[in-house]
Amino acid sequence: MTTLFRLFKFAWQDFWRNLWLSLVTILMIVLALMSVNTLLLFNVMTDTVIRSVEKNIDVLVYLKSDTTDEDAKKMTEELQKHPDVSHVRYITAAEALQEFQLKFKDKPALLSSLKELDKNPLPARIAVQASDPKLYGKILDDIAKTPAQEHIEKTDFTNYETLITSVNAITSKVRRIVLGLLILFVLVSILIVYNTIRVSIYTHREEIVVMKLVGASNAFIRLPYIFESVVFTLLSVIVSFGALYVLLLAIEPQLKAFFEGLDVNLLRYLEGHWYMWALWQFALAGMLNILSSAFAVNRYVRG
Amino acid sequence: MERRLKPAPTDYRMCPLSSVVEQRNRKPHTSVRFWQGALAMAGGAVLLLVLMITFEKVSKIYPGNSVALQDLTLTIDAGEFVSIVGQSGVGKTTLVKLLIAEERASAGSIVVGGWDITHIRASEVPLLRRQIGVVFQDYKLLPKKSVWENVAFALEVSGAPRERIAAIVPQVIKIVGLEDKLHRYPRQLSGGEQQRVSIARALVHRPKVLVADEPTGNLDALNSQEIIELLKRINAFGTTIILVTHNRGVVNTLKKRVITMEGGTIAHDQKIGKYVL
Ligand SMILES: Nc1ncnc2c1ncn2[C@@H]1O[C@H](COP(=O)(O)OP(=O)(O)O)[C@@H](O)[C@H]1O
Ligand SMILES: [Mg+2]
Repeated sequence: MTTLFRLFKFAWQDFWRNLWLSLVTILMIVLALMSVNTLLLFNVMTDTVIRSVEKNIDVLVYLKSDTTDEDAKKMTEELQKHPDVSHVRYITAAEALQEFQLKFKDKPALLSSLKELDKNPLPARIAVQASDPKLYGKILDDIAKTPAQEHIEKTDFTNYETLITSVNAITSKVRRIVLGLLILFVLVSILIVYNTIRVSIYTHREEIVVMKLVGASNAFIRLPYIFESVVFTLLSVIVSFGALYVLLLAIEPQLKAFFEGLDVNLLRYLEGHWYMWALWQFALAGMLNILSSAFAVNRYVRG
Repeated sequence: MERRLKPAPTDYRMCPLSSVVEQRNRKPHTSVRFWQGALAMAGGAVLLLVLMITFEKVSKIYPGNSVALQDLTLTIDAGEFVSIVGQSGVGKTTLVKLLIAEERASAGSIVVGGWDITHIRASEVPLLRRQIGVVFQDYKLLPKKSVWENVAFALEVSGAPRERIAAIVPQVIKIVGLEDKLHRYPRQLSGGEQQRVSIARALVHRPKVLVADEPTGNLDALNSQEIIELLKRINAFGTTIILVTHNRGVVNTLKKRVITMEGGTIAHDQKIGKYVL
């Protein structure tokens, strides 16, 4: 008990008596964590942007004008059962007209020319969303094989095909770049943090030598540095998440403007996930810091 | 100005039994340890009388084929005051390092009070260090700790209870005559005073042996003389003193045993010696 208390005391004293070095060490860990976190957030952001773009894609299956409401509903149900389809919406001709009018309400010329026609020119349609944008081709092929084919006027998949492939290409490219950057950042962070800790232990070599000289046990020499590493990590994680939060709070208006119309809210995401991230980072960074300091102390304990 | 060294309290070595034996018997896990322990215990009573240090044909070759000690054989009895002299590079510091197990011998054996420390395990080194106090030319004090803290540190890191620290630290600081400078930091002390702090620190475990490697190397004549007087007084309590020195005047006035080293081994060993170089 006395021993444990004393170990804490040493770690504590050491922290304050070498305040500058402690702060620099923490700063380095904070910067490392921040850069990793920024990148992780960027990853979350691209992910949600891509997903939200994907969500906005659908394929419209235009129905022939002689298709009955009943047939259309049956077709909708059939489509809903397709394993690759995530969402199906049947839009009647009247609804289609309404949507059209709503969409072009600032274009009175267009609307008035529409009014001149005595009947609704817009066909009924079924909007189909795939669970994965890659699967649209397959879904449409499958529909073509069913008896429902006779009701289909046309599909406008061709318009989306290029968009879908480019979204797919961008997605995988962005993911790869982010992953590469993340690995790079983590490696650089590890190097910087390890070296900072090494420098900090180097300034303690005298103390370690004296401890050995006067008969301190190995645990007594090492444990204060391990406590210190844990405290450093804890403080760093708190500071880095605090800073990230404040940063996001500051640029929230800009972010909102930038992602107008998309379902992207980093702040909300961080609020919902920070403790998981913090826990992981505390565990990993803590391990890294403990190993670094144990390794650095080793040089002076041996010999 | 004269700095008087007050007579020390007589009880600074209160513990009656050899703590070499006590401490080593705390963890007799293996049978080897058990027999070592049993032997040491049996020898305990005898130990009190003859806490002997024996170097038997010891050689030390550093990496890079640098021969520091060669076939050195040496016996130091309990309570002796031995000076070790010799030119630079003859292996004096190496001898000290082997004795406190900072280095391991390349050949031969080293026994301290019945304990063969030739191949001592890293985990047992702390126990040895509490039996043998060491003092160096550069004091090795921690600059950010006060006199009291520097001395108490040695007990704290070996897990001594608070009451024991509170009892021993003032005693040893009194022995070296620094009781009115308890809260000074090393940079606020003269070289001689710093060396006295380091001696006080070396005494906290009530060691049977005190090794001083050129303790007066950085001090002027007056301060050197005071340190030597202090060592003599500690020796008078019964502590073996091993003094490595370059200081001709010190050796010649001591009129104690002098071992002269040359080329990693012993050239002369005189009961009442002189500095012969
Ligand atoms: N760590 C070491 N590595 C290699 N050679 C060493 C080392 N320490 C000492 N030596 C060599 O061993 C010899 C004895 O050194 P030392 O014991 O320090 O002598 P002294 O204390 O008498 O001046 C010298 O030649 C020195 O160069
Ligand atoms: Mg030397």
